[in-house]
Amino acid sequence: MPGYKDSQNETFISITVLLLLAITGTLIFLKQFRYDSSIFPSGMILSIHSNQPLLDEKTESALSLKNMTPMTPPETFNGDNLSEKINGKAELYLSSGFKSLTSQRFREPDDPDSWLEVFIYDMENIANAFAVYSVQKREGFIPLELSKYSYKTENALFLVCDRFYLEIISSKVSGSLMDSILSYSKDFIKKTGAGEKIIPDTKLFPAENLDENSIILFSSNAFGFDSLNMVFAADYKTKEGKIKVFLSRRKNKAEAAELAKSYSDFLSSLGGRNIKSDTGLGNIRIIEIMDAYELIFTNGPFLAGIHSADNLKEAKELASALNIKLGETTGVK
Amino acid sequence: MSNKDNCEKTDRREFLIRSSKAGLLILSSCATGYLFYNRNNSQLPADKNETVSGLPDFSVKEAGGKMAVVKGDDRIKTINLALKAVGGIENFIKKGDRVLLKVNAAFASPPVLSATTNPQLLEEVIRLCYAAGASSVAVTDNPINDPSSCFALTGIESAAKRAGAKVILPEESLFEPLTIEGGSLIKDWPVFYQPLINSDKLIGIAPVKDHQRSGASMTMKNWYGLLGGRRNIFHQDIHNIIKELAVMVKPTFVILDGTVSMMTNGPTGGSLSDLKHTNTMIVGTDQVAVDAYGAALLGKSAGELAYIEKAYSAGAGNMDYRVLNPEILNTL
Repeated sequence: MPGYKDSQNETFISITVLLLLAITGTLIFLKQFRYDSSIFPSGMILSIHSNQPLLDEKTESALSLKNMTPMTPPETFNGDNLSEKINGKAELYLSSGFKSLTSQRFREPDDPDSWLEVFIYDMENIANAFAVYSVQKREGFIPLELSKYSYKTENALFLVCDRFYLEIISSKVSGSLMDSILSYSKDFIKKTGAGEKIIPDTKLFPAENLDENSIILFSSNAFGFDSLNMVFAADYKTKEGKIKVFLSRRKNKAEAAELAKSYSDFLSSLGGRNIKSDTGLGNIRIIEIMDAYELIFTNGPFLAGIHSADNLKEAKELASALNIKLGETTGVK
Repeated sequence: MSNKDNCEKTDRREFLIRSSKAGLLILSSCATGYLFYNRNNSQLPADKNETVSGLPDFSVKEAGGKMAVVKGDDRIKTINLALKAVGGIENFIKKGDRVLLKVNAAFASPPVLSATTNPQLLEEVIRLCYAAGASSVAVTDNPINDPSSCFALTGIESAAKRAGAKVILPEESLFEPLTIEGGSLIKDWPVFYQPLINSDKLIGIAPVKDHQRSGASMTMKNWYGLLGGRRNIFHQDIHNIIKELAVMVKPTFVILDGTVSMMTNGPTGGSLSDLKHTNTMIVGTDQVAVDAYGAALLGKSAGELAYIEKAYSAGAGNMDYRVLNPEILNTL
C-alpha cells in the first residue's frame, strides 16, 4: 500500500531527525562543562574550549627547555578565556589581534624556587605582535640581538618573532635562569623558523635624532581617540627634550584625510584651539590643547603628525621632515 | 502518487492524531528547556537557586573610622606600627573571633614580582590575629587560573601554614548567588560566600598595582576575587563592578601594601623593572580613603580613578582620606 509505505518513510525520517537532535543536545550538554587541565598528562598541549591545538607543530616542538623540568603541562588559551590567565591585561591583547596563548612553567631540577614561565602569544601577524611588545616595553631594558625586536630586564626576556610575542619570566634574578631563558629564546626562533623580519612602516620615520627603541605601535585608541588605530609613534631628541612623532597607513588618501579631520574635531571638542601658522604643508592642522601643540597632516594614504609638543617651531620642523620622508614612499611632495 | 492523492488520504482523524503528536513533541521540548533554564543567570548548579541578599557587615562600629600610613621598607615594622596607630589590632579582633583574610592570589607568580599579597606580610598579620585572641584564621581568594598553583607559587600557602592559618581554595559548593541592593551588575551572581558567613571578621590585604583596565588595583579591586562565574565580562564595566564590590563588602579593616608598587604593566607585571620601592603601608577601616591615598603611590590622583569617585558617591567611604585624620608615621 503506497499510503502505508509513505507513513513508514515519515516515521523513519522523524526518528532519524530526533536522534540527530538528541545527539546534538548531548554534545552541547557535555560541552558546557569546564575543561579540567589536571586530568591531562604532562607534556600534552591543552586547548581549553577547543579540541584543536592552537599552536602548529613547529611551535609545539619549541616548548621544551634543556636542563629544566616541566612544572606544569602547557596550557593554551584563546580569546574566550585569556582573562583566566592574565585577568585585566587580556583586553590589551584582544584589541591587538590576539589568537592564542600557550604557557608553561619549568624549574631547575635542584632548586624548586628557581623557575620560569614561558608565554607564547600568537598575535596573527608581526605588526600585532609588535604592538603588544612595544606598548609594554620596560624602562631600563637591555636590547638584545636575538631578533629585531627583543630585550631583557633583570629577570625576564621579551621578544617579537614573526607573529609571536614571547615573554619569559623567571621567579628570581639568577644567572642560570637567564642562561636558560636566552637558550630557550634562541631555540624558539630557530625552531619556528621565523627569520629576521622587520615592520616596513617603522622605517618611514626620519632617521635623524630618532630614538629607535622608542618606536611603539598603538593598535587601538591611540592618544585617547577611539578611531585612531594602528598608529606608529616614536620619540625624537630635540634641544629642549623630546617630541613624539606619529604616522598611520590608511587604506587610501580619502580615509587618511577623513581620519585627520575627525581627530582634529575630537581635539577641538576637548577644548583644542586651531592655530594658523606657516609650515609649507598644505593640509596641516595645528591645534593648541592643554599648553601643547598637536600637528596633524596627511601624505597620500598616511595620516601623520606630532603629538603633544611643547615647542611649536621644533614640531613644525619635524612635521616637515616626516612629510619629506613619507613623500619618498608616496611620491607626494 | 501525486500530492493531490496524498492529501485526499489524510482524513480529519489522522490529521488530529498527527497534530497531537507534534504538539506533544513541542511541549516536551519546552519542558526540557525549562528544566535546564537557569533562572539565576549564574553558573551555579540547580540546587543553588536561592539568591542571598548582601553580605554580613564585618566592620567594628565602636572602632570608628581609622586610618594610618607608615613609611618604611620593612613590612613587619610598618604593619605593626600602622595597626598600633589605628588603636591596636585588639580594637578589631576579639577573643574567639574567626578571622578571614582576603588576599590577592590572582596569579601564579613569584612573590618578588609583587603581583600578589606579600607572604611575609600575610604571615605577620596572621600572627597578630592569633595574638589578639582569634580562634581561627583562614586565608582565601578565587584566582581563576588554577588556584592551587596560585597559592603555592605566590608563597601565600606556605606563609599561611607556617603561621597556622587555613587556606580555603574556591570550590563550587562554597559559592552562592548573591544580589546587592541597588546593584546593576552583582545580581544573582555567584559569590564566594561560605567562607564569609563562617567568619566574624574580614581583613583585605592587597598590593598596590597598576591595572590596564581600571588604572589601579588596590583594596577595593581586591574584592573582585570574591566573584565566581565568568566574571571577565565585568572587565567591560570595570569601574562600576569595583564600586559595587566596595558597596557589597564592609570589611573590618583593609591593608594596602605599598612597600613595593607595580607602576607599569599591571596587573600581571612580570619584570622587576615594573616595580618601584614606594615604602608605604596603609591600614584603614575605610577602603575608599585607603585607595584614594594609595593612588598617589602610582603617581595618580584619586580623581583619575573613576571607581574611587563612584564608590564614594555610592556611600562606600570617603574619597578625601584627610577626613579620617590619618596618622602618618615613619620607620625609616
